[in-house]
Amino acid sequence: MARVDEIRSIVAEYGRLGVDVGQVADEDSLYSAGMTSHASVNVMLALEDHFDVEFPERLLHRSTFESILNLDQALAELLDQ
Amino acid sequence: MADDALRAAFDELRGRLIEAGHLIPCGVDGVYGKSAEYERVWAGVGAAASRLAAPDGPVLCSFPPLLPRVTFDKVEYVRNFPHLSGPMFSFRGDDRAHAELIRRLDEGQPYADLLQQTDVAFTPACCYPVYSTLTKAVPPGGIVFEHHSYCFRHEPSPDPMRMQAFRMWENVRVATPDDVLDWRSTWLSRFAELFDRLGLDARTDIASDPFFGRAGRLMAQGQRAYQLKIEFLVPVFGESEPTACASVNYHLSHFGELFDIRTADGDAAHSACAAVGSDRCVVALFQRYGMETDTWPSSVRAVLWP
Repeated sequence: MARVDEIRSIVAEYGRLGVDVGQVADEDSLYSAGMTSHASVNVMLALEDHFDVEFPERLLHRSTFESILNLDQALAELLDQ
Repeated sequence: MADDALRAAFDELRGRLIEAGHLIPCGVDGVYGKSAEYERVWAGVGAAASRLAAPDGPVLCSFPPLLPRVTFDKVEYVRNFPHLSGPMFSFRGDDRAHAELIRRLDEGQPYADLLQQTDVAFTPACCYPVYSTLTKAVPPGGIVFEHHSYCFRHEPSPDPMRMQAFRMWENVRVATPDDVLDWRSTWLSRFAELFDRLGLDARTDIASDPFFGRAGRLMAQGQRAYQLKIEFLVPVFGESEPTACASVNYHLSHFGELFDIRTADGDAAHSACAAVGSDRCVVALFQRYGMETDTWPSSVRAVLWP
């Protein structure tokens, strides 16, 4: 499974979006799709478990969790290290 | 202000309050008895806030400073603020466990592992008990509650503005989004007027609650992004270290959904609260005008005791 699809699957399970994740493009705002701050925390923890990474302080910003694309870029950086 | 200078400022103000008898130390930072004069000022602050609230016709109610554990858990307090929380524990063991408890006490050993969690927790904010009483529909036009009670947050500090056991005056509005937003605007004006008349030089700022840890950073950013919390900051220890003495908080439909509170049209109700840290206001007034209330400006006295 491509990384972006794995992210999608975690967002679908933990993001509590108001719409089906299939209707959200990679660059669309997850917050606009209904993801709350609470839910973004759950997405973060699930991504950390799944990819065995830890989001450092510098990535703990709303913008990191704004879209599937942003999450993919953050994970690309973390997994490269 | 450097940490050492700030600590000295805390000690100086707390020392003066204790010397004047207004705060009576109990041996733990942030837990104090209060003088009759302190309580007279505190009652005056609450009454001044209540007079501002009167046009809304709030329902006055009083709750003890304890929350049922089910409510405490439902509002996710431990999840968001585990470091501030006060779940209550007590002993439910048998005679054998009691003997062990006594042995530990006699030897000065820790005994927390012999206690069990009870069905109550200390109330961390005095609006929490209200929501669980509102399940089902609120009347057309919504509703406003007013209450004034002790709260507890586990944050021992030498700062006399930051008590562990402190009182909060609150009005809570539960209604449609438009009504709640109008009400919030009204309270931003009312608090500005109150602090202006008390001469406390408050300024407003967008704020966030002290959420715990890494997850808390995201929560706080979300709260700031939507401008859900606006604080009235008073420079008791200087402009660079102001202390929040009141706040207006918009919860969107958070509590409406959590407690299934519906407006007349069936949608989840929105809510907001206007809160005054009444003990903080008292300490700020003593700091600003001195320990003898007789010498306070007549304009300030007239706000407290018209």
